Amino acid sequence: MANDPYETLGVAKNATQKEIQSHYRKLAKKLHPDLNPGDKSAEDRFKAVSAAYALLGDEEKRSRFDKGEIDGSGAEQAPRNYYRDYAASPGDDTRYQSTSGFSDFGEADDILSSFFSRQGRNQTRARGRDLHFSMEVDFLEAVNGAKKQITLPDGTTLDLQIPPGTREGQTLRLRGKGEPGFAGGPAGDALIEIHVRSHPIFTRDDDDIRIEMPVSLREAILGGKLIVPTISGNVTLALPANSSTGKTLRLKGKGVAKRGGGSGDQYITVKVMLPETPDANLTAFATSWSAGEAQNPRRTWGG
Amino acid sequence: MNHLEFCEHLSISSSTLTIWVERQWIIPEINEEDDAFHDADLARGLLILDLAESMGVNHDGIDVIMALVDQVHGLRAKLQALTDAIREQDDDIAQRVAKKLEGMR
Repeated sequence: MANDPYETLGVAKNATQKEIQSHYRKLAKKLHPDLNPGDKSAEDRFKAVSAAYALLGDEEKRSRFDKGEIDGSGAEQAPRNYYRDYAASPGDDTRYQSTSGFSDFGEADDILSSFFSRQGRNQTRARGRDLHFSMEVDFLEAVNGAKKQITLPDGTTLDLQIPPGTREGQTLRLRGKGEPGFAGGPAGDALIEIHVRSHPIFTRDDDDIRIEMPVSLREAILGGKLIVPTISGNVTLALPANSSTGKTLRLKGKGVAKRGGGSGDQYITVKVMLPETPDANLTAFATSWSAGEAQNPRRTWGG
Repeated sequence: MNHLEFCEHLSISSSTLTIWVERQWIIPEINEEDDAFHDADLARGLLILDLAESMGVNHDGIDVIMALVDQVHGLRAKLQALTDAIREQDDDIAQRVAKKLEGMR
């Protein structure tokens, strides 16, 4: 700063006060540290320019400098904290921080979207808070999709579309249905965690549905057409003759709708049921059934 | 510090600060104590004075500048956090990110 303030401002020795001011303003706008938050060198240059202007902008000091009474650093400013020094480490003071500049970054449901949007808590234009709810739906509503109404604590109701194939614990997002934003900021979202009630017949295995189908001994031996429930209604299934417990049949495409299109399958596992009360004829038959004696279903156990 | 102390520090009139607050260039913190302004607000006030006085920017111009300055700091903080997060990843992930960015220059 001890060098020539005229040179620092880029003006001639005989420049008018007006020229000096206009040169200074041009440089200050370019170099102000708060307008160059990441550029360390801008601060030093701004200081030099400011010091030069403090000297030359004041006609009295300028004439004293011209006469050599004070040197170029004669009017150095007291050290100053710039706003950027605070803004760079806001801690939990985020009154001024705005991340609205990221709102066009990527998909709203992208994994990074919450990083870019959530912490921008500029009090002036803050996004409203998200509201969290949970909701129970029936098994068939979850797998087939349904329209539900949810009543918020403040008495308002929201229409909620449960998409087909919704899983236990899945969170549905209703954009803009959270708390209102501040001063023109966007509203938050309502996040609804879905809990699926269990079903007496169906169980879910990813996109497939599994059921256990009890069959009588007669049906197991002779086979035949049986009515089987699926998530989309009853269908007729041809049970092959001689179907043992544990035999699994597949109904292709009768499972849960997949996200990218198509559907899972339904698997039906046979469970042979003996008559509830012993039957004399059956007992007599089993006693006289010599081939039955040769069958050893436990032969894989060895021994 | 409170409204009056803030004005004394910067040698500005009370009505000037009122305008700043109305224009949301300065946002007082709402708290129980009489302590709405902090050092960061003072530094911000100095920037506003620089803009208004030494650079000759009018109020509408300051509106634009302050909004953009706040955005820049918001973005810088996010970018810093993102950079830190990438640095904390395994080497090969950081390398992959760096390589991708190299290709964008």
